Amino acid sequence: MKMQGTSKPLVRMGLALAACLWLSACGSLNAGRTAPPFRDPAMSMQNAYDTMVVGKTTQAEAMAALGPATEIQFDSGYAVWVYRARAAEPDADRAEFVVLFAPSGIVKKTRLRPAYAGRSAAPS
Amino acid sequence: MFSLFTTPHCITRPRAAAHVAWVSALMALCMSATAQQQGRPVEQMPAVTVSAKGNPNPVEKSYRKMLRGMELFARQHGQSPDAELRFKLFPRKRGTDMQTITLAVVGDTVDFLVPIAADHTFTLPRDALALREDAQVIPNRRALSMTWRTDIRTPGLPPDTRRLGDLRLECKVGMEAGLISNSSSFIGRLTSAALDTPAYCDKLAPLYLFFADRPLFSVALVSGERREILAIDKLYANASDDPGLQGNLPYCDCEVLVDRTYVLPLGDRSWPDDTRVEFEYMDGE
Repeated sequence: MKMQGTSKPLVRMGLALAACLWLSACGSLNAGRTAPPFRDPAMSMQNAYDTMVVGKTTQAEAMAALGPATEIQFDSGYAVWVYRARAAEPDADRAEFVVLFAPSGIVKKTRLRPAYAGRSAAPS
Repeated sequence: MFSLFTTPHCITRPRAAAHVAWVSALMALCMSATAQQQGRPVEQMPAVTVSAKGNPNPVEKSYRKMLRGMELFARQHGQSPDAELRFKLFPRKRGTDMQTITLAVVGDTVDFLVPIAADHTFTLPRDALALREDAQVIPNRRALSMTWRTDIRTPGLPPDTRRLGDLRLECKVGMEAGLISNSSSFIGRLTSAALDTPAYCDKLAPLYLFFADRPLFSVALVSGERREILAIDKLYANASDDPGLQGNLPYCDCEVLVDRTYVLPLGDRSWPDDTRVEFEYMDGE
């Protein structure tokens, strides 16, 4: 089992630097603003859900459509990609879009999880 | 090999040694930025320890402690009135043969075998002499090759569901019986005293690891009209948020069960004991 991002290494490093600098800037200038989890800032969770076709969409197509995700790769060959909305408040619960890829690299399942009111993201 | 650091917007993959320093600095920057903005602590790997007296081999368990767990179950049976208590063995290392396990209770002068069911569960008979001699419960497997849990299941539930009250009781009995295997993490050493008691299970979101029957895709709590899906960081031993997980896995009894691992808000009493815990598996439709 390993956990990783889903973009190529050099691209990843560049994206990471840009993202971190952007996050730092956001943190100081506009803390609390919700950031989109997808490459296309206009894409909603529901749009993303509708974009993925079970039994058809490949990882490459998902990457092209949604952008990099947090990936959990299991020894079984299955992989889970997670896209999480950034919450408006630091400890607020976050919506998620989760994609399960079969060992073949094709989408096996998808699910949306809303942000639940009153739920804290912080552990107790 | 776990060589990656990922937050939702902070992804690196160092391939060459020359990148390490750069990446380290980047990671520090990322961690600083995200931590400041998220304003919440990173949830750590579950870190609980077993400290069975006179038991240097973690695959063995103290008979006395396991009986204490059974006594706690008897006292709190009302939480799962239709269920019986069984213990269950799980593999902890890849390649562990789970089909031909022999389990024995061994004291100074007493020893007897404990039958194991096909699903790797068993019940422990009460034996006064074994209790007096502080016997050990010993499987014929090398150290750290297996781990243990309680198994408390109300009969007649719909397929792919559990009852929250059963799982709450599993946690308490498991803690009382000293079933959870070790962690050597710094956090674990600091907090083991607090985590090794049944009271830990009353925390709002304890990191008591449950193992589902098959690899998980989703877990939901359902009570009446209310339905909530667990966040991804409650599955897979927090793999989505813990960049150090791969390094910690040898110290976690979830090592080969990560895809079946989940935690529950056991202490959140807004979810009654009759709450259904619904599982969607990776391999289902």
